[in-house]
Amino acid sequence: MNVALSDKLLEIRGKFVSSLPERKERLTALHEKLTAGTCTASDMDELRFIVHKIHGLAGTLGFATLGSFAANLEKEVNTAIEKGGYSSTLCDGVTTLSGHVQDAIDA
Amino acid sequence: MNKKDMVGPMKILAVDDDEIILELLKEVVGAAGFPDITLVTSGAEALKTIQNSPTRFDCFLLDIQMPEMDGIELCNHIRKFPAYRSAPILMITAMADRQYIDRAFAAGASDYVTKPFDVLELGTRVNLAARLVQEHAAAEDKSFALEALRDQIETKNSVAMSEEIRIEGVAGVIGKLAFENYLLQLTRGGLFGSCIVAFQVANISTIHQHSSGSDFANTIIDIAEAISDNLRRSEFFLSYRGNGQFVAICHKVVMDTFNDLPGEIAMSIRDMELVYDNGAKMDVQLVMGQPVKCGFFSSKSTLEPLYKAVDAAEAAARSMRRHPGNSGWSSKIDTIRNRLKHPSTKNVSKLEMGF
Repeated sequence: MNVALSDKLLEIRGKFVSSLPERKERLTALHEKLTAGTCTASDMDELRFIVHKIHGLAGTLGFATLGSFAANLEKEVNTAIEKGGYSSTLCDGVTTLSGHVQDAIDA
Repeated sequence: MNKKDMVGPMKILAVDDDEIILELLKEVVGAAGFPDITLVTSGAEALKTIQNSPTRFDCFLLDIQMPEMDGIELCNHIRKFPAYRSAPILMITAMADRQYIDRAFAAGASDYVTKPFDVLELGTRVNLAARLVQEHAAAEDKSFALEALRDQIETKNSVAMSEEIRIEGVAGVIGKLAFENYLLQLTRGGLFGSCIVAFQVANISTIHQHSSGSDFANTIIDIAEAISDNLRRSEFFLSYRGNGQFVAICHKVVMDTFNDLPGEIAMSIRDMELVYDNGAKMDVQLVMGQPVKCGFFSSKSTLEPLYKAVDAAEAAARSMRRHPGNSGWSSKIDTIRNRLKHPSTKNVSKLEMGF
């Protein structure tokens, strides 16, 4: 990979990391709704959207663990949406994802 | 990169609702040698951009999961523009399930790249798309030159036997390159459970020799229709590879229907009552090779099952040509027709191929 592209990728990685605190904040809010049992269909769609975006970007930008965890969680969110219900596993998954997001911010 | 590997410039339209992804695409594709890239964040904006663009786009990079109009619907819309019937459309998406891959290729996608993507690999795939653009441009030039020539002399055959004839409006038919990319995508994702089967028109040279260009193309389309009609009980994609060769990838194949398939296709072709320009009856000798199961191969991305299936069909065609008296399925058509009329006599084993 040429130096110019490496530099650009680093810059984009920086932008991605800058976008993470906001994504984490939304994840925390959605987690609270999940645990309180007040999550609406539109909340679930938002959760899917956030997790999907992290899945798509993190791996390419060097956050393999975050990306692969988001990929697995996306499947769980999709299943929950299809079945019309969610479990404690999903709540735990969102907590763990938030932890990985924080690791990426700290890195 | 060798000079011979160099491809020309391309005007690209990338569509993704995530601006970070768009920026990433711009840099990666730019570094691969294609800096002329327009970025938009929705399907609606993409269609507006296409309609208002003073020059044609050469290639499209589409995300699937987007609000309102998703990338598959957008792909369908783009294919409806006559100028973009054969332009490369690469789906770049985190959706790795087969249902999305199938829908994307059925909508006209040329290739499928899953996120997270490797930046070098994406560059390679865009380069492959550029090569396709170049080939299409060369084919268009050739077609234009032939059109001009046709006005001056009457050519018997303007379609080469090896040419990949464009087949539209036949269920399940996709282009040769799209078919190969589809298979690579399935094997790349470890999505096995499929079967590849190839068909060869054993007497393609005779048919080509006695047909005008448009007649030859229409015959190929008729044969594609006959194969497609008879594959409809399974989920499938079919592609024409030139030289009278078709290849299909089938999912959920029922063994007994597969066994009868060559006869049923022969029956469909016979019912079409194909004739040459001069009214003479056209005899189409279509043979089917031994089906090849994708699951027999390693998990790495590979076209090996495709080549095996093609080899098997070619071998069957050679065998038929060596023994012309044994005209394959023609003699069995009446038996099959009878069996279809009286299904109770059929020995149904309902055994699905165990992949």
